[in-house]
Amino acid sequence: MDLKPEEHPKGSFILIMIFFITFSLFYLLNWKYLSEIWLVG
Amino acid sequence: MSVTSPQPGWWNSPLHKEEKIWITIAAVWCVFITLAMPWWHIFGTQNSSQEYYTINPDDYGTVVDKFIEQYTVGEEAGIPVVAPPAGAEIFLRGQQWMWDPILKLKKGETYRLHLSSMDVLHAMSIYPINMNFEVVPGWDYVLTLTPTTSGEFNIICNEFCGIGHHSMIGKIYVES
Amino acid sequence: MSSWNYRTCPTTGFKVHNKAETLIQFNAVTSIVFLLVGGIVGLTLALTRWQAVHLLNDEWFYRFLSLHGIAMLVAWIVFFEMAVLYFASAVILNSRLAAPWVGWLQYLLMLVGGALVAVMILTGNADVMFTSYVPLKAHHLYYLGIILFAVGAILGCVVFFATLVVAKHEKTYTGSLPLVTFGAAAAAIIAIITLSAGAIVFIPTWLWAAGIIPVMDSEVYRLLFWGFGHSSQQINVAAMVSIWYLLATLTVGAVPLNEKVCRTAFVLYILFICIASEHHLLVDPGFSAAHKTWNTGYFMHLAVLASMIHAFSVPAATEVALRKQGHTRGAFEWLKKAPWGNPGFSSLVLSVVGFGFLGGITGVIYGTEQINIIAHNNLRIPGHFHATVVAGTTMAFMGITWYMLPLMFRRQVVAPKLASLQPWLFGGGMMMFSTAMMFAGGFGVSRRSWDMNGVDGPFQVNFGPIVDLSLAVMGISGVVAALGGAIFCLLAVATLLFGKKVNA
Repeated sequence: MDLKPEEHPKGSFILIMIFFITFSLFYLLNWKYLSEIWLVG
Repeated sequence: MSVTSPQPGWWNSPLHKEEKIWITIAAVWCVFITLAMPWWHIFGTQNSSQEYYTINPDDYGTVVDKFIEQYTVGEEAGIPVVAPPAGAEIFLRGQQWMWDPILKLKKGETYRLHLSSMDVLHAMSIYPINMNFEVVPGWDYVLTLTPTTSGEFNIICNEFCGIGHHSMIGKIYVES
Repeated sequence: MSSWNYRTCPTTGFKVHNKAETLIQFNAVTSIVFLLVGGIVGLTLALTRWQAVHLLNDEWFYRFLSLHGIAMLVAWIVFFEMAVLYFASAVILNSRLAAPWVGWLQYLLMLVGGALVAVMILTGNADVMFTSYVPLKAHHLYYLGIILFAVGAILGCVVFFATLVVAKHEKTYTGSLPLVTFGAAAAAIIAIITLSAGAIVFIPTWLWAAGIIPVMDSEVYRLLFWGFGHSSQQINVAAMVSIWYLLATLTVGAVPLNEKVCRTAFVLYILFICIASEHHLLVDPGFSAAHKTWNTGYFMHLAVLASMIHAFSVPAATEVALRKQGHTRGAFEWLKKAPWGNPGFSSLVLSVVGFGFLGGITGVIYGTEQINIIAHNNLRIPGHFHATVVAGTTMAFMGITWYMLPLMFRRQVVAPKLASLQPWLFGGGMMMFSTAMMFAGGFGVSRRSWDMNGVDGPFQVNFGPIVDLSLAVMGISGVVAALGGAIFCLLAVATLLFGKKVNA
């Protein structure tokens, strides 16, 4: 599909970046929680 | 339209810039979160154990009884309290609807904790540490465990094991 | 050909085969009946886990919890998916439905199976939860009910594929399959694979419960059950994503930005999602770490990649369609000018956000092998799947129902104002509900427990005020979501009975 410059999905790109940042922060936070429990292997 | 057949030649239509960037980021991220798991196995200190044996529940019961007999130091709510030496093989038995024995451990010492069930599936959740492992009849699951905090901890069953499931609460003491 | 009866839909121009239409109607209505039953039961469960209310006693709590899982996750969703499969094949392709009698067999088997399971649970013959982990044993008719239901669902998939063949053969469309049908085909392929895994586990379990097989190993059962149990949830994912594209087209006229990208993502689901069955076995004995990470890593998380691709391509297609209508100012004018009053559109947005932000992110994180140690079987897990299958899948299915009613039942939705409020109550309530559940789970509150404090046990557990508060939030948002669900059922039934007829 051909898009004019003003028709590009800029807003969705910003939204998906917010999603990605949320994802990576929560992901790292959970590794941090895990590192605080008793040692087990 | 997603309800009509696409234009002929749709396979060769190029990707837009935003799509290309996002798919690249997503693909790199997926590789990263996959590799994080083996990485933590090598460098991390909290991993799911890979040591397990099959065992007949009756045999497991005999072993646990012997363990209790050897190290009992008291009794609480009708359940024996055991204080095994640091580094010992220690045992926890799940059955409808109790955990025994009550373990008295030392902070910073490493134990080999055996988990198994006498009847149906249970799961051990150490409160408030929030560590969870499945307890399976017929399987002896061995965790190499080092408590790093001291105090009184509960063992909550968090696998449904019958109508009395919620009353299945045990205890661990960790002394500093 | 003259024996086939068709009408042409005045809104969409689809040629609708009357036998396909009747089957779609029966499956859709039955699904909503199960939604109503599961919803009422679900409300009583939320009001029991809200510790300050604690509505049910222990026996009925566990019984209703089993029923809630079966009525919602199995009956409501799969009956609705059968309607979606018939719609995506016969209606979208303007074709006749292949072998409608097999379709009726699908309906009857699923109805009898579903009813049998429900009766067994309510008579106290199956206090084993949705997962029926061996060696907990239910009456053998319980397992037979599940098997009948699964066979029915497989027959529905067979009718779907046969209709694709008929449509191709009779040239009712030209070129490639439309994207929605393609996505439905992905769902049907995954369904056949995972329901076969279900047969592999439930047939021996049925024989075991009937006393024919003497022993079942718990861990082998868990492995096989989840080969069916978790993988079959990916049917819902694929069906839901197809509905996302359908809703984007119906509400704002969206065209997929790049068909190659969307279709490749669906193929990734088929190829990699079926191996992902062991999220429930990450803290179990019996498997090596290499095996666990390989399996639950979806082979380098390629199925997660597929969902992340859809997560961009659905909103992007919506945005481009709105921009082409002239809403081009800034980054978000299109979002402000979007048809928010249309319940189909708000359902789409809430479903994408609920599934992606809450369900998707937490699913990947809790399914990471080591992180599962702090998530296994506590409230984080039901928090995750209420975000995926309720705030995600169910919300999307409700959204498409507002279009199904005029298109398939030829009735105008009564009380459209109330209908446009419904997604916010249900979706908003469900998102709060899942978030509160996951928050409480982070403190170690167990799932599937009638009383977290261990009231009849040798020791009591005190979780403290933060957990009490989050369980209260969970209870209240559960009531809000149940209200949204009740409005949905009420409006759907009222439309069927009293809605103004749409002229054919």
